[in-house]
Amino acid sequence: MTSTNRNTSLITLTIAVILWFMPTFRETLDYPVFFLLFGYTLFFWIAQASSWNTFTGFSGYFSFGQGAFFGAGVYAVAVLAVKRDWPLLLTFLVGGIVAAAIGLIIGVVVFRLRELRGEIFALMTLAVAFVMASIARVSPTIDGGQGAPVNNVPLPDFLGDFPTMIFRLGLIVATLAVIAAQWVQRSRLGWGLFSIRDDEDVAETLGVPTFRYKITALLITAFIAGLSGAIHSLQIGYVTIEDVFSIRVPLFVILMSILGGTKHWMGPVVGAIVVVTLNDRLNRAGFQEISDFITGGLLILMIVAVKEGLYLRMRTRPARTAIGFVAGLAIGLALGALDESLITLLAYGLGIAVLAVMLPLSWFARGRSAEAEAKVASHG
Amino acid sequence: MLKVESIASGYGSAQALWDVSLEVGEGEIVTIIGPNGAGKSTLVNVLAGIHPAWSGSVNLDGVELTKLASHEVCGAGIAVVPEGRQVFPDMTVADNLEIGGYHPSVRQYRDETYERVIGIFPILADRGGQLAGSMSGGEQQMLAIGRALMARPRYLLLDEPSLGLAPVIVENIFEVLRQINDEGVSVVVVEQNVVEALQLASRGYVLEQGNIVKEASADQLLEDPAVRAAYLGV
Repeated sequence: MTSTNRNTSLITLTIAVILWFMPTFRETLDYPVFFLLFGYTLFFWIAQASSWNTFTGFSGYFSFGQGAFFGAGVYAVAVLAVKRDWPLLLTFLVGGIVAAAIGLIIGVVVFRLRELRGEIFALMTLAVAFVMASIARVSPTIDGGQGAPVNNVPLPDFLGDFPTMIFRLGLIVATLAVIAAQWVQRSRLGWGLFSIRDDEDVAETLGVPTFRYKITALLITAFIAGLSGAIHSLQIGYVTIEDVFSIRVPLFVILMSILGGTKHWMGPVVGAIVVVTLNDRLNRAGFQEISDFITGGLLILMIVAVKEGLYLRMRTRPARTAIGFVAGLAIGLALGALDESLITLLAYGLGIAVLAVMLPLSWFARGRSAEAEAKVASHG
Repeated sequence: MLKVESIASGYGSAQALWDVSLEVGEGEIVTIIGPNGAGKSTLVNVLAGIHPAWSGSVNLDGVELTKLASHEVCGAGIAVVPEGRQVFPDMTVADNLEIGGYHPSVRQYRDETYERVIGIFPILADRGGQLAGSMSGGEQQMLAIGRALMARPRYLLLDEPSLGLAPVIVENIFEVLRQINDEGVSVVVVEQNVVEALQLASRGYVLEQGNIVKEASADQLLEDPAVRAAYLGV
């Protein structure tokens, strides 16, 4: 089960450090500023999806609370940094803490009651976001229904210009989210959460302190989601209740995590990369109006075809993944994707790799029986 | 000694247990038999601490279990094998066993207990890396028992261990229970499979409609005309 260890986190940290210096060498490498903003979008969704999965994926408690945690972070900056002139970096931290406090309240109320498992828990968490939106709407100190601008806040200049700064801030939170997920997965906490996902009553009789574990995981999720939301307020620029508390954030983190696979920390990362890249390219190709429609349709297809999630499927079929990716790059090159952008080329690679692992097993069976394949798949 | 006194419990306004009292001594094998809907599983869940008692007490060697949080009950020396086996299907056999030895009070003995458990169920060592959900029913039951033993219980509580298993497997499982009992673990078996259960146990209780209606030695119960008529169809 714990196919992750300390080395994984060291590798993650190394990659993060390398990415950190990407903006420094922008002139040397000669890539457009847009790459940094695209990178930030990736980091944002990796942070959101990974943090969501740390609680929900591992424990099986379906949460729509991501929007509430995210929104708490956004409004912490909009209220404290903009209206009260608090130092920006401090308000980031406050955003995380406020979100964690909301998570704590939800957890303490809901987890006490055995009846509130399953779909009732999901609805409760959804309701919290609605309540928070209403409070923000009627309270003039928070929003008052007018929206709140988050520009003209003094930005810390040691992080570089705006694209560089947001790239690096996003990178920090994404790294934090991923390393937290890795730590949970290999710790006793993760173990306890997995047993809760399989059968909570039995876990409890075996001595797993389920209440404490669920609260702890929810706190980690909420804090990171809030922190990430706080930073995202800078990217949004003008904060409105409709945007912040829309269903978009909770829905997308769920889609990304389920698409990538919820049983492994890598799942949400893979899911976020695939969805963000494809979505971005669809938008750029002029399908703005229907890009959500296309993404949604693709997601349904993928989720049905790859139940265990893309990551575990790719891991059991590394050859197909690699061949698909390289073939995708080749097709992309042939179609002149590179003339447009490196990201378009990446999108081709990812898209074809995803298609390759989605295709029915029998197409590639090469004498292996379907039963053996099923066994491999179920072992993940 | 496990001493259950005047337990009442239920769900909402539906009362499932009215006034249940029983005792299990150190080293005993006791069975609780009764028809469907008698409240057997509710009783097990109350003893395990995952369902609250409305009133009454469950006392294990002086420790009041009804006052403990459910994850602390197993630390007091009682381990439960739930109905329908309920192994963690997405975890490997080895991980299932590890989780059985999860409680802080037994963690230090984990390797030693593991050796003991695979001494009883060698198949669990062979299947260590397999997902528990992919094993057969009998193997899953062995795993569920093995997992409970990892908590080093003084009292082992089993809810319908024979459910859905072939007769030869049931015999096998009950033989293992006897062996576990020989090692000093008291065993409480809640069963519908009355004959097997009474052949294993030294004493039995009959639970009907939430009340203990009869208590006697296993031999007496096997001879009891009412029990024979109700449960053996003779």
